[in-house]
Amino acid sequence: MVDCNNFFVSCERLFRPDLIGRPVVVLGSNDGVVVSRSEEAKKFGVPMGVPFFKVRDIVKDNKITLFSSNFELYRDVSDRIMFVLQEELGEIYQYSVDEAFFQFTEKSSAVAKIQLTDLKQTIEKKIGVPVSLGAGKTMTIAKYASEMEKRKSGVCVLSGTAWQKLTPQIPLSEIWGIGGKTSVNMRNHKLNFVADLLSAPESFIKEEYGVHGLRLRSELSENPAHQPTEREGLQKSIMHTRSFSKTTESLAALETAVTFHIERAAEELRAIGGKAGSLSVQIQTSRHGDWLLQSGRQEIILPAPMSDTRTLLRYALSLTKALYRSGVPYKKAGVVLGRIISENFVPVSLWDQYEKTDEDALLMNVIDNLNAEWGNDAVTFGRLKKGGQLDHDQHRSPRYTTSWNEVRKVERKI
Amino acid sequence: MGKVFNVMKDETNDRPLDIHDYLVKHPASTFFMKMEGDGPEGSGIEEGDVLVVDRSVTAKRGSIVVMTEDGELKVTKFPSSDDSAESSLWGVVIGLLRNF
Repeated sequence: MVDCNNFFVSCERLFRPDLIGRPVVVLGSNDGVVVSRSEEAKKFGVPMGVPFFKVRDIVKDNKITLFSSNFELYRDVSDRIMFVLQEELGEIYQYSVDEAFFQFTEKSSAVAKIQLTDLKQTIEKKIGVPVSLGAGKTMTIAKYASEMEKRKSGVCVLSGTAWQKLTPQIPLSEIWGIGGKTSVNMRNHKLNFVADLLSAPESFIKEEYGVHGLRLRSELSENPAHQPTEREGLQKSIMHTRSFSKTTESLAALETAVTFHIERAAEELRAIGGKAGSLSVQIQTSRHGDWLLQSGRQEIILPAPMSDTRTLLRYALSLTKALYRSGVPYKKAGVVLGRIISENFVPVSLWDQYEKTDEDALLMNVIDNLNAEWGNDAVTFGRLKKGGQLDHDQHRSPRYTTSWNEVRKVERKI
Repeated sequence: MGKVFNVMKDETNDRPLDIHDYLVKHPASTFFMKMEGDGPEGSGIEEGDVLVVDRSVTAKRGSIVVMTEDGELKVTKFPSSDDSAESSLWGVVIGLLRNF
């Protein structure tokens, strides 16, 4: 699989080579939360998923460069990477904005490593974003492999004996599909490393972790259990929107409408066997008069493809709160679940359907805490400007690839 | 007067001409940049021109390129006179957009 390194930061660095090797942090959720860090910023102790105010001092003291999420740029760069991958490899399975799986056959690990290194260099030349490549007999192993060499050669092949001899050392908590709760549960059962899971009795795995546990064990024993299928049959997005019979100025009414839409859309998503990689919420005013500019729409890229109502709802409601302005008569509310992929190649969490990845849990926790502590206005972490624009993306870089007014300026070399 | 015909018309299809097709050969690796100040001497590039920059093309002697120099992006003729360790190739300018 291919995985971009610190993707949002890397996108920013593409047009800002002065930031290569420097500490950079990208904020998301209306500048509320850290969503991407460069290696240098990590070294200064900036954690993932924390609210900005918690790291404001670290950022200031170390002169860390800050950006607001520039989703248009990131989407565009992501599309280019996926396009190149498709050109090089034929069929790929895009998992998230910066990850994709692909199949290839090569008997020799050494030759595979050479081919993948070639691919890495091609992507980096053509697009300019550093990537890591991992390969294994199953998707779960490939994903681990891509992490393993990320900060070194960037290419890792783990197959046969190379993989097997590592299994006693790889903590289960680092495996794709095992979230916080599950790894604690496993530790309580003395399952700490991959090898422990592989040698545990099948009946125990089935009883304690169900069919998903068995799938995971299979994946870790080099027998594929996840089936990537083409997105061809699945629609790319699901939209649910409706006008109100009369306008409303109430946040509660908007939240009720958004809740309704998310519940329906998520049901539909699960019914078609899909998971969504992005979510957007739109609240619209009447088409006439002064309020025209007060409509709001915000899209976020989800940390991982998902389909459970509860998590989607929490994101959607926090977006709704962030978009809402009091005193404005709203006429319509809607949601779009986008970047839909087949659930067949996303591992279901072992604990229950609602367990989130650690990153996701952190993010939601932070958003919820912010709303609770500071009230509705806090999530924006900025000031609402007159004229309808939310003044939250204070540090957003220019949309270099999607807006003619914002293309990169260059001077000649003296 | 008879038929008016367009000598540049593509014989294989009837779609109207698309500037993008003409200019951009590798969409995924092509980016646009705007010239600030005059372009490199003899390049014909003027202030305000939009440069079509392709990262996938190999630079040749005499190519106009975008380079990284001390962290800044600069336009110059290739090869650049001082190949310091601080500079590297970003992409090759393969076309220009200019409005009159």
